[in-house]
Amino acid sequence: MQKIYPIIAIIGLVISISSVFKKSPFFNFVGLQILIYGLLKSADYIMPALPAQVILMYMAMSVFSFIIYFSIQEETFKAFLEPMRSLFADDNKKFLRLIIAFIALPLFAGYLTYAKVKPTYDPPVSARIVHPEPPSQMDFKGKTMNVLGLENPLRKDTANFAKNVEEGKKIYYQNCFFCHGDDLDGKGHIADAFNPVPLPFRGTDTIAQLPESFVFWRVAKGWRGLPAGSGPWNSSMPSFEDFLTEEEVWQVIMFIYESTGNKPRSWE
Amino acid sequence: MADVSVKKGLTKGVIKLTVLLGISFLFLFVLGKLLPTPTEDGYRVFPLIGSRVWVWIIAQLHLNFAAFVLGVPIFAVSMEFLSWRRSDERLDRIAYDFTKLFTLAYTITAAVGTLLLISLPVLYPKFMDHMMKILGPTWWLYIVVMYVEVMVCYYYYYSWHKMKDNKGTHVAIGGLLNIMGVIMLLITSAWVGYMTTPAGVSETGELLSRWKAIKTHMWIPLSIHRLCANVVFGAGIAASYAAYRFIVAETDEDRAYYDWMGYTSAMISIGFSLILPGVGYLLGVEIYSFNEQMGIQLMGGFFAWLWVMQAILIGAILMFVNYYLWISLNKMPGGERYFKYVKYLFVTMLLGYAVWLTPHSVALSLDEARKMGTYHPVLGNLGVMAAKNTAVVITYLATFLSFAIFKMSNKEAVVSWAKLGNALRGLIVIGSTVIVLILGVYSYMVSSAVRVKILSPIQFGVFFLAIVALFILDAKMFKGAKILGEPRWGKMPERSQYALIGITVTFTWLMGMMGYMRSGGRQYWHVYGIMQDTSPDAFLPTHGFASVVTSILTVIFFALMGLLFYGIMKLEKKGGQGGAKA
Amino acid sequence: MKGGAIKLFVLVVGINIFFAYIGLYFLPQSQSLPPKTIKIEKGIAQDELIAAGETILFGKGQCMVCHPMKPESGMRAPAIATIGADMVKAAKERNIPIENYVFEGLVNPAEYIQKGFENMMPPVHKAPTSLTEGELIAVSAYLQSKGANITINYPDSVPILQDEIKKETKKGGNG
Repeated sequence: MQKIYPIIAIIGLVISISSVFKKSPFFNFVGLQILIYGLLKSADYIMPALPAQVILMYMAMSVFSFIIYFSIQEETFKAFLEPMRSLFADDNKKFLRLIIAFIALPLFAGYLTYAKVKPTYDPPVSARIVHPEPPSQMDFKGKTMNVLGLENPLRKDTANFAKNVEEGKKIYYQNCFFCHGDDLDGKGHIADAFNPVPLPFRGTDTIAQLPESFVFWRVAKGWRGLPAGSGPWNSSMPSFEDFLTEEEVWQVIMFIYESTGNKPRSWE
Repeated sequence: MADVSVKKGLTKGVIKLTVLLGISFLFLFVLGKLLPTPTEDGYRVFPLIGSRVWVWIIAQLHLNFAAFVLGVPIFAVSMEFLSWRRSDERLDRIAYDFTKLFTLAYTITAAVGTLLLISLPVLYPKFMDHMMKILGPTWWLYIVVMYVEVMVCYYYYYSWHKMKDNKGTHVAIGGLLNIMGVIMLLITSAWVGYMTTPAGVSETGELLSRWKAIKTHMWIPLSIHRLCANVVFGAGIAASYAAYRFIVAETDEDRAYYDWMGYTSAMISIGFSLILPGVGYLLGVEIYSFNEQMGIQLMGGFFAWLWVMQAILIGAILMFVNYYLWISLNKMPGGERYFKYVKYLFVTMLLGYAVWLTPHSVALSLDEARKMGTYHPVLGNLGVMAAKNTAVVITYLATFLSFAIFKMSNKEAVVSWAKLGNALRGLIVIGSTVIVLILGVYSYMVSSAVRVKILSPIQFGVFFLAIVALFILDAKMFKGAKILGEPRWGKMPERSQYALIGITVTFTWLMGMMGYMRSGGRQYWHVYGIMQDTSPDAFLPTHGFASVVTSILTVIFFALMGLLFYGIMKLEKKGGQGGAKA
Repeated sequence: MKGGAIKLFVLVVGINIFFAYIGLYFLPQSQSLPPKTIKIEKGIAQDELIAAGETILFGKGQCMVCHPMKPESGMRAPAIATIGADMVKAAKERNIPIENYVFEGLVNPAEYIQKGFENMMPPVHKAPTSLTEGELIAVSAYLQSKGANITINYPDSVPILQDEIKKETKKGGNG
């Protein structure tokens, strides 16, 4: 479906360019609007897709501005209005007039109505804190741990670094990879079953923004540890303290940082 | 009507004012006896629409008219001064036309003011008692100043032709009129200032120092802000008057004159609007220093989305202005040489507008949120102040260039260094744009304090330096330049006049919205932190509701303005031979 | 030109309808209601007290205007998420009981400013925020719940609170 938008943009460009040669500002205008719409809609090739609301805003602005632009010079403006004038006044356009009045406009109105009343199953929009605050203390298998300032004990053991990462890799593939993916990009086999989708570890805005202690808390406590503001019901992360030892959690954390090239954030 | 003697005019003014005041006191007395006593916590309810909406509409209408009658004299008198120094007949005529506008608008202003004067004590007796207790004497001063102001105004207007040979004195009277106007503005701003940022009272609302209650945080910045905005607004209304007269004009001569009047008024309006962001910044600083909470609430809290609305409106105003200037190239001999630059200016404006209205936080559907997370990497960067300041400075610069192009389009420089001058101009334009852009990008990397206190002022400074440099350069370059022909005033397509009206309507709407925000900043307080609003209207309505009320009162305002314009034309026809056309 | 005036009127009305339309269908629609009084009575359960505190924090207290929930760069005021633990630390440093420290932070905030922040918080028991004693205690209990043991409860902590309010009044309160 997205593939269609670059094509729309190209069609718009073609209309716009050819109408420059035909000296028809009106179709130039139409072509430009199609081009801009196509470009805005196909923005998701280079960045996350633009929200519908922003596209609507930009399109309203662009229609307003380009009408202004084409009405600056008298001749251009006359030529701009010409197709509309001829549609309503010329005798040989009678048939076209009928089509527009009795078929195109009713269809368009019908479509608008349909789009408006079409039932959707989207839940209401709600704000959710993505990186919630961890508690200052937590209880790990009966042992009280200070989350604030908690450090990965295995980092000090530089001699066994490679071995720990290797262990972490095994643990990752036995426990995490189903959701978080082979490539650690959040696109595991069953990732699409969840909403919101599992977080990717690549990129600069997830684990790269977090200290290891936060990740430890998140892995250990899972959805049950989330505060109300983050909607624990909105997460499928299990509490891995039920399945892994403390050392294993640290090993897997080292693995995900190491294999994505991210550095944990440190408490200053 | 110029034949009406000065004495008669003055008497008429005083009688009108006295009758209106008399009516209000009579009504207050009678209504106070007739109406049921107010509720326990001191309210009466206006039927159907409720007290708040009623007072909201009346107060904003009164404010609009007052802004108009206080704003126009400032440049009307300046124009008369110029016409006197340069003995320019046309300037004298435009000054007289401006004066005609505001003098006749006084009656409507006073009538709406009377309605407000009746409504407030009847609907909000307890609140008004408090205001009288704290600021009572200023109210009596206000009445005195109002009488003097009206007398000076009528004298100024009716003596226009009588004192033709005594211009100096007449301009001095105009000056006095403006001083009176500023005093009135200061008094009314003190009331609003006290309500929003109260001082000089104890926590229970007992008066400690009356002077402190007048000299609140908001007083002076609000007055300056209103003074500038009044000029912008007044000139805008004058421009729409000219546009109206242009459209209904029957002779080419009239059309030429009103075209010129519209152009002059619009440029005064836009010129003064350049100061507004700076003055608004001062006002914001004072609100923050009064109460951090209120500042944040106004700038980013409940009202955050109204700033997006403001961006849409200001962008539309700037677009309309540029459009008007670009169309104006049509009437300049040699103007067609410059159409090729309009393309680039247009693209700059378009991109600037797009950045300027990109919201920082976007309302997302779940589906969208799922795809991109809660924060869009590109839009998020465009939505912050760093990008917006840059965009605004660049669009202002483009607007100034449109103006400069218009000014020079019928001239050809003859000085020997014309080529160098052109290169220099290009350098200034591109150079300042690049500097502003670099500063804009750099301000992403510094803390917000550095951005607000250092980088943004530098951006605006670069902008002002650039326009001053361009102004001087053009003045030097086109000294004694070959003129390709006088502007063909009146040879404007009608749609350009719609653009002028569009500017004014948008500005009036914006003023209504900003006034609502200023008032809404108090939240559920009559006097912030001192006197709580316990009426059923104590909540802030939805943005949609506020927009509808603003639209309704803007339409009422323009309907009344239309009546005024129509009245002026009727009067002119009646006294057509009497020299009203001077 | 005949009909010009009518066209102008249509233009003015049209623009205004357009703006009203944007306001109605484009901007988010919500009202800002004046705060409701929350009843805090003797013998209120601790978790009810904390819940009341949270409501006040987001509503009448307007704390969230300046305080972020989680720590972020360039924040104006200390983050709420860790504030309980932070206060325990600071109270230890200054060697005063934690309860006094919490109340002081609310009614006499200028007395001690956490490193890295500016003195900008108003005393919240005064107008315009005007929190009552019960509400102040509810907020305090909620703040403690963010990473510390909750030692404040409704009727018992009132004397300490009144102590701190007195200290603020004595200072002259001309800020």
